[in-house]
Amino acid sequence: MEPSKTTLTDGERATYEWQLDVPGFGEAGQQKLKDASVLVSRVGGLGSVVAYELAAAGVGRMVLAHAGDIKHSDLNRQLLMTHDALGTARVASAERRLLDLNPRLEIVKVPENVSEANAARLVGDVDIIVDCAPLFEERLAMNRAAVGQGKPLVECAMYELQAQITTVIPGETPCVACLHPEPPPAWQRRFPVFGAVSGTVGCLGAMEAIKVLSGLGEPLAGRMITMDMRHMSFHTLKLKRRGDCEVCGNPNAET
Amino acid sequence: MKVEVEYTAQLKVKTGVSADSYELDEGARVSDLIKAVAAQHDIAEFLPSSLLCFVGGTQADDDQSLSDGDSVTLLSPISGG
Ligand SMILES: [Zn+2]
Repeated sequence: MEPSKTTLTDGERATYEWQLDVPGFGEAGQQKLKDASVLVSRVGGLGSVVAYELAAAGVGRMVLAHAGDIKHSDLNRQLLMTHDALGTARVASAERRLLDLNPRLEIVKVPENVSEANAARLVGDVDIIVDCAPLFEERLAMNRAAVGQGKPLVECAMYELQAQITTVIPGETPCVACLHPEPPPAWQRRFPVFGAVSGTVGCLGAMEAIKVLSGLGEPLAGRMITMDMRHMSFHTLKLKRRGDCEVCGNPNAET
Repeated sequence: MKVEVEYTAQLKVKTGVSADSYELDEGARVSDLIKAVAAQHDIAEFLPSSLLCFVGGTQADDDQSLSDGDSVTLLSPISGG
C-alpha cells in the first residue's frame, strides 16, 4: 500500500461519521480505506454491489474489470447498469453510478475480463481483490496472480438461491486452486440468479474487503460460508490447504 | 454405522434433496461414502475431483475415516457472479 495521500477532510469526516463510530474502526480504519485500492473482477450481479458498498464506505480507488456492453438480461441483478445505458460499456455505466454516490472515488475502468494475460498487471495495481467472475478460468487466473503477489483475495460466488464466500490470505489460508485445481466440468456459464441473492453475497464480499483493509473483525480466512436462501440455511465450513497445490505450494503441509 | 449427508450448491439441485442418510460398514471412509452417494444419485459430472467433503464442518480428504452419527456436507464449487 502506498503512503497516505492525504488525511481525511472535513467533508469525509461528515460523510463517514456514522461508521467512524464502529468500535475497532474509527479514523484509523477510515484512513486505511481512503488509502486503499481495490480490484473488482466483473461488476455484474455480485461485483456491482461490492463496488457500490465499497464506494459508499469510502474506499479511495477502485479498478473495475469487466468486458462488454449492457444487455437487457443484465438488468435483473447488475445494479450499476441502467436501462438508459443499454448497449453502452458496462464499466462506463458502473463508473457513472459510483461517482454519483461518491465523487471523491478514483476509478480505473478496464473493459476486459480477467485472464491469464492481464491478471498479474491488474493485481499489481491494487491492495486487495474481490473476485466476482462467473468463470472458474477467470478465478483461477486471478488466484494465481493474487497468491503470487501476496494480495488478499475475497472469493464470492452464487448459484440459483445459493452462495459461497471465503477470503484467501496468501501464505496463510487455502487458495482457490487448493479447493478446485481445475475448472469443474459441471459449471455452466449461464446460471440461474436473482439479484437479491447476488446482492446479498456482494454485501458480504464488500464487508470482507473492508475488514481485511482496515483490520476490523475476523475475515473468513480459511473458512467458507455457504448459504441457501431457499431455506435460509447458513453454514460455516473450515477449509483445508492442499499440500501439493500448484499455486500456493505449501511444503510443510501434509499431503 | 449411519451418517447424515447434506448437499449444497449444484449438487443439491442435481440430487433433488437437501439431505439424506447412509448406512455404511464400520471403518468406512469418505471415499466409501461418496461411492454410496453416487449409487443413489446421478452425480457423475462432479466426480472425481469437483466435490468437496466436510465432516462436522471441517474439510476432509477421501481417506478420512467416518464414525457413526457423523454429519457430512458435500459441496460442489460454484462461480456465479
Ligand atoms: Zn493453494
